[in-house]
Amino acid sequence: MTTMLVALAAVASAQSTTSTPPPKTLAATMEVYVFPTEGQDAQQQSKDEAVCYDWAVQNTGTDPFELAKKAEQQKQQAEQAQAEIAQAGQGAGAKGAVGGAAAGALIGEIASDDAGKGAAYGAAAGAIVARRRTRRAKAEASEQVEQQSQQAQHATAEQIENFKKAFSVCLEAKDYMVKF
Amino acid sequence: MRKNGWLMILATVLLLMATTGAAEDLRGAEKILCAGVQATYCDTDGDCEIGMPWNWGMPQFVEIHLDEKMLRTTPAAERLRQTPIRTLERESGEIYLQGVENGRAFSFVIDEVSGVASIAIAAHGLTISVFGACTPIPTGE
Repeated sequence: MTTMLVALAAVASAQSTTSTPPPKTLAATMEVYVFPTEGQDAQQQSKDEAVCYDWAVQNTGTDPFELAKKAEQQKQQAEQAQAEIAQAGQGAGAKGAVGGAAAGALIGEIASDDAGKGAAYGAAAGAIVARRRTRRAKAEASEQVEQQSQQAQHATAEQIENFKKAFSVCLEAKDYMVKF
Repeated sequence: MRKNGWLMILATVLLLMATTGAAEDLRGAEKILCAGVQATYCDTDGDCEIGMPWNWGMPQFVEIHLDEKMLRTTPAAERLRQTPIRTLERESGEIYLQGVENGRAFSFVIDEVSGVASIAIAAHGLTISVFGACTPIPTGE
């Protein structure tokens, strides 16, 4: 029984060894291509990349992994804000209809938010005005969120670009050829 | 109830039209009944919406009391609403009415022969134009 398990484990291990791609280096995860020009082995390269990563973090004040996390949070926040904006519009027409009521004059009540209680036309007018306002507010809010999100993405891309420059300089100083 | 009231008004208008013969002839009439047929609401954003006049709070029927210089809802309306007319002129077969109320300025141009009414209402940032038809209310109504 034990012999069989060991044999199975060996087969599984062999299979996993052949099918699993080689682990990505730190640089590769950031789409930075590094080639050792002085014949450094993989272990040395990994160590050098780790050192250069820290150096670049210190010099640029940017940590790409932290940035990625932050960007994901911002994306979620933007999505949430968009969802809230979309939800805010629901029922605005009805609210306008209830709120848009009061007694008054003939011409003076036309297209008024204060149209009379129980007056169907007042309610309808209130609802239309409310819908119109909500639609406009939603469009404005949505545009603002989109703009903020784009600004954040732009800033993040710039920071990463800067980080890669610093990371590359460090690796080049350690006799690696670097492209990104 | 509301639907019944509406039908009653419509029936009244039809009856008025039948009893007055040339229903649209408003010449000499002191009281006129007008119904808006179509309205266009526009705001400063350039958004315009076409709909029924009551969508924006205009009554289905408006009585124009030229003798009293007053716009008024019909007795069948859910509640009384009225607006005084500030200027009134009858000239070249047209009736011109103008007034101001609650920040809304209005102008009516009513053709005395055809009964066609062209109405404009303006408030800060919005305009409503309405086309409708008018018929005289027989004296004593």
